[in-house]
Amino acid sequence: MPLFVIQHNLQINSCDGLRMDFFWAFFKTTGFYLLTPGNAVMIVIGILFISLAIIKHYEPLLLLPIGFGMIVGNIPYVAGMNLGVYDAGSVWNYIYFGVTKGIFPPLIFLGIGAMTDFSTMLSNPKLILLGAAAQIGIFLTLIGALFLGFTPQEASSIGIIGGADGPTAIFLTSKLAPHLLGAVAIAAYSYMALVPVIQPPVMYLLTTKKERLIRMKPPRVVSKREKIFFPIIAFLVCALIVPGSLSLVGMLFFGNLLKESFVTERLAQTARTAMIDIVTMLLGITVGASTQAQTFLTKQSILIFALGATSFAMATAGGVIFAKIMNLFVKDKINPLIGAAGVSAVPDSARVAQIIGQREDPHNHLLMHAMAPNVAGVVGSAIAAGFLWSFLVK
Amino acid sequence: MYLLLNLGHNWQNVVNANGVTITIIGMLLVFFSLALISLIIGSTPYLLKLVERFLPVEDEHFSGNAVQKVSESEVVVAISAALCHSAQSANKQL
Repeated sequence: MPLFVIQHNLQINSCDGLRMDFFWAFFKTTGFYLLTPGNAVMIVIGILFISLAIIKHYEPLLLLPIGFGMIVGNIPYVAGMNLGVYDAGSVWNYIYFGVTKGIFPPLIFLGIGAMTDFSTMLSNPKLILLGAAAQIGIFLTLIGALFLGFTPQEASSIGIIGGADGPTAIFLTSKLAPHLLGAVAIAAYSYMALVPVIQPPVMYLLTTKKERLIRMKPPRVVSKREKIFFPIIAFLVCALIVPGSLSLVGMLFFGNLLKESFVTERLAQTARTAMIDIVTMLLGITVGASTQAQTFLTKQSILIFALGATSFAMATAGGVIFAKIMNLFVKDKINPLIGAAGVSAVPDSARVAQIIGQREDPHNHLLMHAMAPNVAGVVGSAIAAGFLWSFLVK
Repeated sequence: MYLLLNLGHNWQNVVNANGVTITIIGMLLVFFSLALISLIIGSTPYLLKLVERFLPVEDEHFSGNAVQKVSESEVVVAISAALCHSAQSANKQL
């Protein structure tokens, strides 16, 4: 309640009732009075996210800022105070600008590019196709979302959750369906954190023990020139075929060139440390703060979460099945578990492939091989996002 | 019957929005782009051999899986650290 209303209340009351009225008027402006059950639920979910980050170490760099942001976003305040992310002129709104205008995701891609070593992918290029196959989750979910009555723009934003790439999901949603930004971002990051829970059942279901025991040839050594050549040529291919992916793949490969050229080590160091950390913090907390109960707790959000989980499972299945199909044609067999790493949750899905492979054979090291489809998945989901944006932009 | 009608109506949404077309074109584009990158990467070593005729490699830097030269003292330090770590783990288990 604005201050002048409180003063007015004070003037019209007698001295005896003055103190109580003052406190009552003040109490009405507090979060305790204004808190709705929805806000309370979201605050509990925020605390759950923080607990998962701290206790279970599930994507702590993302879940902790998002969880705290959820608490921040669900503290109610008197109308007209301009405090929330959706209130023009508020501090949170200024920071949220980086999300709504799609500025943060490319900056995160710059950092990812500066920290990613593409050498395993370069040493075995056929594994790149697994990263392409896993994008099937995006498109099948798009069909599912259309089936459930979402618009094509909304369906694309929901489908991209299957890319398992938070920045890409935020980027595309900010362009196509900004009103779903909170739900899509929370679903994408939640499922990225839950990769070790979602993927293993699908991987076990689609592979035999014999397949899980396949050992792959160690990757060859990649020269410096190949590593420098790759970001330039890959950028040209992606950007020329799908110009919509320019912002994401441009930054990704620029960051990688900074790293691999060895002449801009200082810039690469900044991109992969300070810069990506700052952007991750700002993105995480504002995305969390965008989940105000009034806009977030809807039937639509529940559908988005359900479709997101399906998308993730289908993407995993797509990668595994495609690896099995490739095995019909290639001489050096591929362990189908690494197909699951085609979803671009780097490096978690590659780690899941390694863990499951080692459960069958403790001396089988799949991590290096799984990193190839994993990083290819990042490029694949950026291309898919670029295509959907180009195709559906109004 | 109502369910079937509803499903038919829902499928009409997919048809109206060209959902299947988007899916097919999208997957083809993703595959085509990544397959092209894969082909180029596969041919890079041969291309670089041609480039090396004109621009010979002066100081090839290997990283990732390459074995780097390390001093004997560094090897001793690494072995000590590994032994210390395994001893600590064993103590914790006990």
